[in-house]
Amino acid sequence: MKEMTESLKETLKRFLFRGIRFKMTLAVLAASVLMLTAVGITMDRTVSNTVEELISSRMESDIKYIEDLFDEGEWNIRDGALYRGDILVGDGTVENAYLAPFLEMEQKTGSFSYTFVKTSDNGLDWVGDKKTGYMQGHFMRVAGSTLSPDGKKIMGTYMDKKVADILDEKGVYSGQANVVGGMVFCLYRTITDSSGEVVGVICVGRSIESMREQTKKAERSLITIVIAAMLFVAVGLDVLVFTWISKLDTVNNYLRDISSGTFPEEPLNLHTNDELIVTAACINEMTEALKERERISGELSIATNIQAHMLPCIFPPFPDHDEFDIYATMTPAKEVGGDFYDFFMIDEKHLAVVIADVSGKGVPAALFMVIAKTLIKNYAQMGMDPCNVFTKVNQLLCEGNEAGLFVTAWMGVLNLETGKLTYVNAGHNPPMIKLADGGFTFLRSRPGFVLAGLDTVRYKQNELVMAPGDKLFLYTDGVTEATDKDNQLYGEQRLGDYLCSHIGDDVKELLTGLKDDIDAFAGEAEQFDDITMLVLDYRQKRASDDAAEKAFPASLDALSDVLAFTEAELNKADCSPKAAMQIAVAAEEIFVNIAHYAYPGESGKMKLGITVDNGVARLNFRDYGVPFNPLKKADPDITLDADSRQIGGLGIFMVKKTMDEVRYERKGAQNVLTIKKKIN
Amino acid sequence: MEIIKSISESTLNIALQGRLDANTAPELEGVLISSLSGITGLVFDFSELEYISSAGLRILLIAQKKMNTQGTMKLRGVCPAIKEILDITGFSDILTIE
Repeated sequence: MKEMTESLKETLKRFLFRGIRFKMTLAVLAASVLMLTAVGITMDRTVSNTVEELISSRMESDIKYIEDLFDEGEWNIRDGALYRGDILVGDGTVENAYLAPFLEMEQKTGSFSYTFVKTSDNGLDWVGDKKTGYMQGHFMRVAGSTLSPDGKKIMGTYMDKKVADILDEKGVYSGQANVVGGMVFCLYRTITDSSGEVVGVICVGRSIESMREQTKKAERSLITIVIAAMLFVAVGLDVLVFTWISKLDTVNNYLRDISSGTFPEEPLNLHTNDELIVTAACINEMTEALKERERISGELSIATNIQAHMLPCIFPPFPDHDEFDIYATMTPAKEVGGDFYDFFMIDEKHLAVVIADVSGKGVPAALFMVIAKTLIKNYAQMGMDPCNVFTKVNQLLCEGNEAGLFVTAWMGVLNLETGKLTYVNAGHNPPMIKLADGGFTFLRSRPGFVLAGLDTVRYKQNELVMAPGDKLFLYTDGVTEATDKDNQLYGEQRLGDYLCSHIGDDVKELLTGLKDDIDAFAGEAEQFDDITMLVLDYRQKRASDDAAEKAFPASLDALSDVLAFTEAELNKADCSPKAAMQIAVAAEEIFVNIAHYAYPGESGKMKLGITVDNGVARLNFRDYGVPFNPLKKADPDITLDADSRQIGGLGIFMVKKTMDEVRYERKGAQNVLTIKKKIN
Repeated sequence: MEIIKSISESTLNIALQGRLDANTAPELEGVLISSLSGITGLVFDFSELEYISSAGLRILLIAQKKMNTQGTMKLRGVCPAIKEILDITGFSDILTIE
């Protein structure tokens, strides 16, 4: 799992105090405070007005109610008294006041009420003292529901002149008024007779106190409602926002997992149908794409790893061989490149060394490198001459080389017994060689065309003989073309100088030191190309074993040569004729087998080694063909009659029967069959 | 290898000199294919034969199968070394060796 990056950690820290949840809570709080203040301010103005209006309309209906309590008929005045139809409502005396409707109304609604009759009195006087008194108007109270402060019914008293004047003019008055010594809130309305003449006034009222109380009550319930509504909104908003945020949190956690390199198994599901569903869908798509990319890059890094490990990297590679020392390094540039080196034993006495550089970089070059390396090794291990190896590999690489890649390569095969170095060059930089007591010099040969360039190229090989103490240095152009910060090349001159001044170094010291020298030269400059080097130190000749060995084409045409060679070797050792014939027959059977089966569809070579030691002949057959163990074949049934006999299988059966020992081994790319037989 | 062929009446005599190996066996096979029609007796003279491998045995087996349908087949002058090969491979049991 990847470590969380610093910037992500920083973001998470910041987010704690600036998240939407935090902001939202603040916003709801602030909105609540603001709304409450606003409501408080407007309440006083609007609510009391509204309540007054409400009360007036209520009083309007109260008046209607009182009127309805009387029987049918019109208001009228007779002898200064107020009648409804024929019912006397009142004439200003307590006795004649008709109180029933007013009392009933008060009981029902809590409003007090009066009725006044219009009088012809004018210029009425001031009543009461300066503080509570008033000028009397021309409407006289004749009936009503309330007692005066002293307990008497207050019939016969007059209305305040200011109110009376307004009623004359408008027919209605509402507002505060001084009613029998106390301030009340009232509605006055004139009443008319059948001819439309004003005959009196009905007044309904309530004390200011009770009205204030009602206003307060209304205010309180209004505030309660507002607070409740706001709470509801706040909670609703919070629930909404918090659900949303918790989904965002899910998204965040999901993404955090991904950014730290863990892919959740389940796709992201937010259980929602809002806009976040699009987010989730996009994230899931993105995750799939990322997974795919991750998988590919994972596989690529495995591929890179495989490629890196394809180069032999265990030193010394052949502990059994003290004839030579070998060391090689490959320092890749940033991107995977196509340089490679290789070395391997073709057989016990032939060592192959290869260095190559595939054009281009990255995965295509890496893949091409793997193919080229494998092909070269395969064909070289078949025992082909280096020039034929390159000719064959070139043809194969040209097939389907759509990308137009090519390889420069150099291969040498060293015969460890004789020191003969057979080499072939396909467009590669010339190696350096140190011969005898001289220094390192370039081993220039006319190079063939690059591999994979043109399928008709036939490569030519050259030979030279190395003596013990000679060294061969192979490299790619990453060495000579290493640049310093001023774009100066390391160059062949510096390379030659370094090698010549370190002739005594062992192979590992030489390459490590050279690499340090190149690094010191390049300084801060970036490495552009792979730097690949291989050095071979030929220390001593391989002691040639006693075996007479000869190579033959694996073809029936060579059978006579094989038999002649075999018989000649056996003759030298004074072999009995019978044993000689049986050995020759065995050699023929084995050789014919190789010629038929080792190289299906193509030509190849086989080698036959013969030694005679202590009266025992030992024949060693080697080929580089397909793995094949002839000894595994079932023996034929030799008891059948002639007509039922099978023709095949007799040859190897005879070998098994006539030889003292028969052994098959697969050694590397070789089939090795050994037979032993006493010669006397 | 030399193949010396002579016919008397319906008997074919074939004397082999030298080596009957994978290279020379096809030659003998060719001679037999062209000469066996109407033959009721086939005699191989091996007294000059030095060497025989499984390729030669194969021809002997083919000849024997053929002669089983039209007559008899005999081997003469088989040296001990070749006799041993015929013994090892079970050919002594199916061939008539004089």
